[in-house]
Amino acid sequence: MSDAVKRLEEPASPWVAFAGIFVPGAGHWLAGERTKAIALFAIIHVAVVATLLGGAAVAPPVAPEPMFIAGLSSSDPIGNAMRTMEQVAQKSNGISMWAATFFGYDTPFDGTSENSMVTNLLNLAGILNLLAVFYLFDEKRAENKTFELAMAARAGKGKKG
Amino acid sequence: MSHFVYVLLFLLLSASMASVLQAQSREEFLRYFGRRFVTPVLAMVVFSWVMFFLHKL
Repeated sequence: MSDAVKRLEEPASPWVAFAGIFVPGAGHWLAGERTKAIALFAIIHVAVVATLLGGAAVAPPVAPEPMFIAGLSSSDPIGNAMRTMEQVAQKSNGISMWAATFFGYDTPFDGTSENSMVTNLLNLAGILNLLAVFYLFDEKRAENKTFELAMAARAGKGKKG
Repeated sequence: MSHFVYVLLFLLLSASMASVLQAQSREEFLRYFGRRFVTPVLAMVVFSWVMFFLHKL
């Protein structure tokens, strides 16, 4: 069976969606939704570039928690959890965030309200990209399920007739 | 950047993403985007004018 026929007869694998975490829109591109892929890529990258130019604070790596006994007086579990969540949200923007850090376009948080606003927008872009990936995953999983059920029904019919 | 611009950007970003994900065609995208972006902005405008005139009374 050729690739083209296979693509017509079988829905895309839902796991392909997770490529979108590394390059926004990549999951949609691989699933064959090219227009949506380009739109997602543009939305995420416009947001990332605009917020970085606006001075958004890129979350630094989270320091490891000290050993339990040693950390009783000095650990900050809630703060660390929030910093971890912020980093997960920002890294979900994909390779553009790694590139920003690598090429030195990351700036520390300066404490002003304007800086926290653009930082929140940067986090939001990452969360939206995660949303897009999970939405596509769910969509493709449902398609696979429907396809399997239809195939099973067809096979059952074939046996009877 | 004022809080108003921040709210507008937030709305623009999330409305466009949700509409892109949900829409199956260009027309659907425009309709969803209109609903998600224009409606809250209109509500905000109407609410602020109402509050302004109430303040003037």
